[in-house]
Amino acid sequence: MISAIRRQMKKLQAGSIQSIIMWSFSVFILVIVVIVAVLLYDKFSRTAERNVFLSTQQIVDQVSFNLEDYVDGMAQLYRAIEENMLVGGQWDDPLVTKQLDTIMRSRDDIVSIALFDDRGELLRNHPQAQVRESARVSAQSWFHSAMRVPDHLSFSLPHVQNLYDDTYKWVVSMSKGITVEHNGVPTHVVLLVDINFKKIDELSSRISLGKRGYVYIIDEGAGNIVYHPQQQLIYMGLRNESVEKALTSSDSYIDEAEGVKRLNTVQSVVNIGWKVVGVSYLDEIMTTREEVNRYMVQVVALVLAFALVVSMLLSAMLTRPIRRMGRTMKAVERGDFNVELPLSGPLEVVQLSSRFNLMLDKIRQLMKQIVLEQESKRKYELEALQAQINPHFLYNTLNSVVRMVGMSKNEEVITMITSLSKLFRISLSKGKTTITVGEELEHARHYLTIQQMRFKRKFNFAIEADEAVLSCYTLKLVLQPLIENAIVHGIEYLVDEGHIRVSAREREGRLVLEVADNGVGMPQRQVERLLGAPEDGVDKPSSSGGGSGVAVRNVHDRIRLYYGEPYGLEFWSEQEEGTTVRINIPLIKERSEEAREDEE
Amino acid sequence: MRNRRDAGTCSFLLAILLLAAIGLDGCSSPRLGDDGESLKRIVLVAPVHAEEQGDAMEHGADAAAKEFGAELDYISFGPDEDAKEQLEAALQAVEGGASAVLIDPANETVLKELAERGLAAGVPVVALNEERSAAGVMAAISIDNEEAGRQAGEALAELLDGSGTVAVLHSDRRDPDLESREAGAKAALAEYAGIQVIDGGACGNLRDACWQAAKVLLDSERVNGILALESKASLGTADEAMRRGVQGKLKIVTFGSELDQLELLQDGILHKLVVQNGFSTGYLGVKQAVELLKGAGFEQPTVLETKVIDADNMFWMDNQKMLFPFVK
Repeated sequence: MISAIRRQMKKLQAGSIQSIIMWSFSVFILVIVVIVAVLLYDKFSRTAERNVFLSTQQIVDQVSFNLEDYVDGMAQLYRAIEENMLVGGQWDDPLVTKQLDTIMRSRDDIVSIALFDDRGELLRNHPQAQVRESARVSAQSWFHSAMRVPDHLSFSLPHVQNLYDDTYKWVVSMSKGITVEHNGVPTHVVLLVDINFKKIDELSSRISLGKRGYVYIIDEGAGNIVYHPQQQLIYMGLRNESVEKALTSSDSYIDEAEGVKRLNTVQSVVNIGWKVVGVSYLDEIMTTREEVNRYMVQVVALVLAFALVVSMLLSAMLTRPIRRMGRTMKAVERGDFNVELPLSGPLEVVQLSSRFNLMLDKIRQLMKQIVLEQESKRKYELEALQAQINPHFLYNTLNSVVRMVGMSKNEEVITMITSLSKLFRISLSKGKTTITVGEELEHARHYLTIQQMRFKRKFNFAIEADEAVLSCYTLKLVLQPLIENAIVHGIEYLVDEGHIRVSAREREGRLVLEVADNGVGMPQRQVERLLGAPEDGVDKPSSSGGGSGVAVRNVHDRIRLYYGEPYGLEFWSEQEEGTTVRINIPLIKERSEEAREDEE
Repeated sequence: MRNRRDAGTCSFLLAILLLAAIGLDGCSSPRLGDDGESLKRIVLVAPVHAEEQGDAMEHGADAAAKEFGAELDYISFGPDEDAKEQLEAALQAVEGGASAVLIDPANETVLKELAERGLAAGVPVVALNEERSAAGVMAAISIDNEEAGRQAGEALAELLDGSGTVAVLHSDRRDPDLESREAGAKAALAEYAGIQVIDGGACGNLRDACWQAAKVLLDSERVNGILALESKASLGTADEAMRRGVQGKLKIVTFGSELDQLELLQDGILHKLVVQNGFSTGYLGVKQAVELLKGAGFEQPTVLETKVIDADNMFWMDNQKMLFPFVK
């Protein structure tokens, strides 16, 4: 596993196509994703912020509308009570009591209705209850405001109603100073209607802006807190509310409490002179923003990881054919030309592969051509060699002829000249490389005849051949050097008469030519040297033409060159017994293609 | 063959991406909600015989719980339940997996045992209205009882114009808080040469019993002022004053803000009340508990101010919100 990773890492070296593809792909995707994420994030956070502003505004508006509505309703109710109670100035009338009863029953948020004279003495109330002796009516703020501005309905701040025994209810007092005719006398009275503050309290406390945001209400005149969810804490000094700012503002503003930015949205409730203030904590938007941020980072990380994997695979996939090509090229480098690239994969790779294959093909062809050329060059060299007639031999023969003419041995001269001429004719044989075994044997016979006469019949010879092989083809002039060798090294130093036997026969599908003599023979070392690797000094043909293995070796090389490795010469030699040289060549019944070409 | 393999790889990768996306979506969406795990359950164990004061505390605790995102459980007690029941309920709250427990202990034993159990269970305990501490109590919100007593003594001395006999009406149980109040009051009164302090007897937690105690006191002694250390004692004293027809003349100063006391205050039978703000106690208690749960260490006890209320200032804006916390 680790080694696989290391291998992968190695492949990802800087500068490789794979790493370029991988990194550029990854970086590209990363950049795209980051840009998209940033844009989305920006858009989202702005929208979120605007939404908070908007929703706070809407909620605060709603609260103030509701409040206004409620206050309007209460004012209408007040007018209804006023009309029922004070028209005609007869507030003690049982009919009035009945009507007040109906009104009270229809509205559960009216706590009490009371009528006082201008000194604060109770004229009547509903429901009827004892006013506390200790309650100083004329000192109450609602009484003050009713007396101060007559015929104007004023709303008090929420307060604890302390007029009656056994009950301390939170109420908002509606009061108005009115002048009515009572028993014919104009009388100043104050009509008080207490409405339960519970409704407003509930209306306001139910509102929450975000998780921690809230709504509070202040009195526009003095900035007194009408409602605040944490009113007590403010009174205790444990909490601050920037009421002054809310008083002067009519829209929204941002303040800071305990290091947290808050959005304050203000809306007036005109008919009662209050202000509703909505407070939203901006860090809640931040929290949402952070969550989105975290989410974005996760997405980006995931996409990046995925892009890395994909680009790794993609680059590996794309570079696989290239790597394969590299491996193939390495094989060619090592000398294995018999390889071929498969034609598959992307178009460019297929094209490249086919070009490579073509190129390889061309190289193979060229190599073959070179081999052929080298071979034929060698062949021509050898042909030139074989075409050489030892001038020494010619000189010696002609010398012998001259001597024979001098001795008037005309018969012998004729035989010799005839043999010589035939020898040359077969030697030339129209430039052909191969001749029939019969012609080769004829050549050998003429050569032997000449030599026999030259050496004054120091040896005799015999030529034997199977009838069947005579028409077979053989490389020409292979026997002559062997016979020359036999005479010069075998027979010449022999005291007795020598004997040379030349034979041609088929053996195990091969053509076998033999030259055997009963001469002095050769030591084993010399036999080995004949066909072994040529040594310095031995390679050079000696001018005497005798005592040299070069000619013999030439025969061997020519045969091998022409027919191939398995063919060539074999030697058997025993000192003082004689030597046998055997030529092994394939049995060829027809002239080869090449030979025919040569003929033309 | 190769193409098929590549297609297979591609679809495999797509499947992984899809799974990852689903996983990402799945693991992130509850986080957007965010409150699943952070909701702490804070238990407020009310004082025994608490009445309005306990309700005010709950009110404040509730406000704090809402503000700091905690869940509040309020355990209250009937009039016949006492320290034993309170301890049981508090220990049960600890067992029940509360994150923090706020308690106004009936006595020191309750606090000690609860604190011990809380320490073992890793539940912070916040003591309310308790000056004494115990190992395991991580925070405390209380009033300075001695200062409250001094305020009461001063108020009474003022009412008496610095001369007269003052009787102190005790509780029949031993409570260091009450002893501090008494000590504070006596210290304040001692500064007035014309004032003589006498022992006014003791009564329990019943209005009638205290009435009897006051009767015994007023029958035997001539007193100008009475300092009642507990609310029930003041109510009994007021009853006796009215029976004797000396209401208003007999100056009564006491502690607490029960509805009956407020009515008597408005009517001029009780003269001064030394009041503590239950709302603040509850609010600050929960606030401290939340801070403790966030990892804050031991806090110095928070001492809250007490206020002297009389018939004139009881309906001032700030006072009436404190004295009448509930909109009914």
